[in-house]
Amino acid sequence: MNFATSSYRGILRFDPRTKILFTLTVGAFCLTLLGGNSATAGAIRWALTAVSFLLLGVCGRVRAAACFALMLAASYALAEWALPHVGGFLGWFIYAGIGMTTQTLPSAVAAYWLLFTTTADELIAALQRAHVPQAVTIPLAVMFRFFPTVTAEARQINDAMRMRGVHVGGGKASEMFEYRVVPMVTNSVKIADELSQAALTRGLGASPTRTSIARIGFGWADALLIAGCAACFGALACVGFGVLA
Amino acid sequence: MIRFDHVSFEYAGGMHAGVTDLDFRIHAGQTVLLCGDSGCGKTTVTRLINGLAPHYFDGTLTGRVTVAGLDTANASGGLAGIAQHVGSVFQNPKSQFFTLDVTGELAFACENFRMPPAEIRERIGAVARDFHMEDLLGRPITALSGGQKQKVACASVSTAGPDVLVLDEPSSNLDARAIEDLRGIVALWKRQGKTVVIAEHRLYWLDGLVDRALYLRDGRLEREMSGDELRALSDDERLGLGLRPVRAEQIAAQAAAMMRSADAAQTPDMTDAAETPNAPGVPDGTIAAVATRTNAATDTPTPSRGDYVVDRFSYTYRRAKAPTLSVDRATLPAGRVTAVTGFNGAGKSTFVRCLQGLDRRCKGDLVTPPPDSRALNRKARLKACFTVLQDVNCELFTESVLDEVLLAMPERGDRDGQQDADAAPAESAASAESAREQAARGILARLDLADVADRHPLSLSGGQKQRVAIAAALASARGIIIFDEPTSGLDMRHMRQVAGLLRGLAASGRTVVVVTHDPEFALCVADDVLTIDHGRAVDAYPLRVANAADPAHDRRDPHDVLDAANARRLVRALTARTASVAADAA
Amino acid sequence: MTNSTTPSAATQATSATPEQPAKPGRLGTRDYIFIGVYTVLYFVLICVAAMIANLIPGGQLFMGLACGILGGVPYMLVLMKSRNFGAVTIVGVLLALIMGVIHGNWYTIVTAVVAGVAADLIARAGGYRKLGLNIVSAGVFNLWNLGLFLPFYIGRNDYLAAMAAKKGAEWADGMANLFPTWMLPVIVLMGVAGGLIGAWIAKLLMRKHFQRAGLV
Repeated sequence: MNFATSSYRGILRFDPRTKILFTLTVGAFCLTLLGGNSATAGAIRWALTAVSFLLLGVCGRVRAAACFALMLAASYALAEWALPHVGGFLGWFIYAGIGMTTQTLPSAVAAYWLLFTTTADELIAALQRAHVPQAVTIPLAVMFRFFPTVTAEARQINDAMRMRGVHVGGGKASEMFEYRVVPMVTNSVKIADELSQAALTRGLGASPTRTSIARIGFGWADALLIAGCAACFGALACVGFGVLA
Repeated sequence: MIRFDHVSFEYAGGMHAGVTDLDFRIHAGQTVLLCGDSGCGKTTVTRLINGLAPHYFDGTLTGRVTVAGLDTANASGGLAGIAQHVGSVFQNPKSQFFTLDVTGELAFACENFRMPPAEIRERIGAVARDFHMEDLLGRPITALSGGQKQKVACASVSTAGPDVLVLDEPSSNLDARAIEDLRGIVALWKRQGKTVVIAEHRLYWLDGLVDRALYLRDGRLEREMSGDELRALSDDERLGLGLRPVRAEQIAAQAAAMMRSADAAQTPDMTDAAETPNAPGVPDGTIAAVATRTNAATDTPTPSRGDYVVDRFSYTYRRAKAPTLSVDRATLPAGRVTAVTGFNGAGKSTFVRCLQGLDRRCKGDLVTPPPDSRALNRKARLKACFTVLQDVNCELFTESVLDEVLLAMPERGDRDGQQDADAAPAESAASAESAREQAARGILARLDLADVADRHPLSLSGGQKQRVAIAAALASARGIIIFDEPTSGLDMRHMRQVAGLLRGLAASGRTVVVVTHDPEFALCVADDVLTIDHGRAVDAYPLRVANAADPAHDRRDPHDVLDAANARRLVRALTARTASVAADAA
Repeated sequence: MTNSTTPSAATQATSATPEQPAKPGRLGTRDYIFIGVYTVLYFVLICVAAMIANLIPGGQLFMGLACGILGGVPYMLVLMKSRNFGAVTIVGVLLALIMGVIHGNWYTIVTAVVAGVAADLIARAGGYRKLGLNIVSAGVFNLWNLGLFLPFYIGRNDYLAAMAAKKGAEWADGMANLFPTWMLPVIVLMGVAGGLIGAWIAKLLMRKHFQRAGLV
């Protein structure tokens, strides 16, 4: 859950809404196995996976893309050469592991690309333009801003516990939980209170919609990707009507 | 611009003190200081101006507050309507930003007011130029220092262009450099003709900027002064009002004066104190009384002399080549208070984290004073030191104050060779628990917490919470007690109280290390000073020295007299640039 | 002239919000901010739960249980702080966005929204004050994470099954998906149980700490 800290200015820029559409398309076909085991669906899956890797590579994360690709290749290698030779529980374990990896990896790559090339501001701006109400965009914005705060607080609490010689595993589990959660909650509430004051005195909630300086908008790249996603669903419809296998 | 017509405000639930019958006017373009003790109602006045009272804090408002022609209680659009005229800056830099990067933060208010993006970008550019912060644009806010964050907070209210600016203790968490920047910002607003209202405890940085000062006491406006009258206050009069120095050059002089008065009241010697432990019914508030009781905290008042020696501390960030902290050798005299000073980001916090042994990346040992001269490695230091964190909320875990102290108290047989016999549990196994509890209650009594022993720690006031943390430190029976910025946001009375507690700890044989960038506090509390800059120990000198020539001091702790030259050196180091700027302005 | 503002609760009042003064039954900007903060706490805690569950092989089966237990405190705080319809639903929608939309998991989008609305309705039936209903609503809410596992229960991977069947492993023929279908009711039950336990723990901590500290 780490968003990019500065907006992506490389080649092949997309609007966050396009990126979300693409991720959802990859998820639909690769993760939730839309289209079942038809040949067309298989081809679409390979195409979407390839595009995901390509996008991740183009935006500068070549090493991450290579790592993911290696994992995918390893999974298929295992399926091809190891799975047919083991049975029993171990076989099932490998089977489930490979299945989960191959199913989740493509959409994970797409999600990684989405997060890496989008700042929190851009995402919020995109959601605002998509008419998502403030009841959702405000808490979402608070969440992005609050994650680092919570981890910093947790670290301090941990320090204080270590000074008292209270270690993980060195006491009752219930106490471990209680001593960490109680200060975390109280501090968070205090910060939330101060944050609310600061936000309200700067006009948050003044009107149901806000403007945004985030530079988002659709371009030719978006048109291309949206068309690609539409084509995937179109092909699937064709299978449904019996036009494609 | 701002009108208070017989305004009273009472918080619902009565959790905070309100204000009573305030009647004053602030004209456009004035810079007004709100001063007075904690709880005098300063903050409530700022909340009445920016509308948080009564729109955010529920309560009963009588009278009328008018800001820029707007009746704040009935303004159309509520808080947001007021927000277009009043910009607010708060005390805590870490909780007042809403986005992740500086540019987005500057745009935040404008976006809420639905300004067109092109105009917002233009405004951001202009404000960034005015505030000399172009280099910060686009950077992630979490990576900024406290001072930079406060600058961003000021800039982000500035972009929307309000006529009135309200600052609630903006300098509490800032060092001298950041305060100087803040001073520049207030001066800029003044030049721009804005109306600025500042509630503050630290006053020296506003020297030459304040047009009027409103002094509040118990929610009432007790005294009104012009800026010149504030400047011209005699030391006695100022101390009578409980105000911190209003000019940088008063700081050193004041510390000397305070020491004399505190010394006069201080416990004459240890044995007397030990014979009258936890005297009941002593009212809270006087520094001497608290110090006396803390002195009594020791059963064996034999403060060991000698120095703890820091041996080759270094800390290297992951993936960094050179260490960010590198202190080859530094001494921390045992049984004395050492102030670790320096600017934000100089490495003070890293240094004390290393001292406490909290970080695996930290290398180096701490050598105990002779005769044993043992080298304590990181793990050993974890048990030899105890840190009272800046944010004490992070170290309150249990359901009662008593449990909090018991949690920090060592188990039997787990006492790591401390010379300190404090809080020693009885050796008989059967009564061990009750002995522990008795010891804990004793400590609480000495810190004036006996009557809240069974309360939930989180329901206490800020000052009480801090004392609970100090009680835990006492109970830990560890030789070195570290304080990380214990006085941010305290008024003079509380600052002196904390200083008294810390000096009492040292008098009872603990070695106290206190991180601070506040020269006033450092002068109140420290025996020795260790200055850290860019991760190196750059300066070390004693602040309180033996003065045999002064017969009034010979009976007591030998290092008792403020070294005037070193005091000035400290003040210079921690205020230098601000002082010179103030002198220019005056 | 006297202005008496809404005499509801103190600093962290719930119903009245600055922009929409004293309209009970509506959430305002301040509530949205608090919901965001609690959702972060919830998120951090369930991440810890997921990490613990993943330490043991096959521990994924217990992930729902662990998430429910650790997430109980922030969940109950959301309920008790706002006491208005919508707060829990918003948490559900946020989880749908983060765990569903961003990760392309359609099942999570559905389960998170449905669980959020259902849990909200259950708690509302008791005015957000009936302990029993609040605990049940926590149990139901915790089912949002079913969506994370559903992809492995629904939909058959012919290719993998064929590969496994080469060995003649008897389970490969009988199984329509990655995990045996009998596991599904088990994780549903464990999810509900986790939510109930978490809410119970939260109730204990509320009484022990947060109420005494004046937080709720």
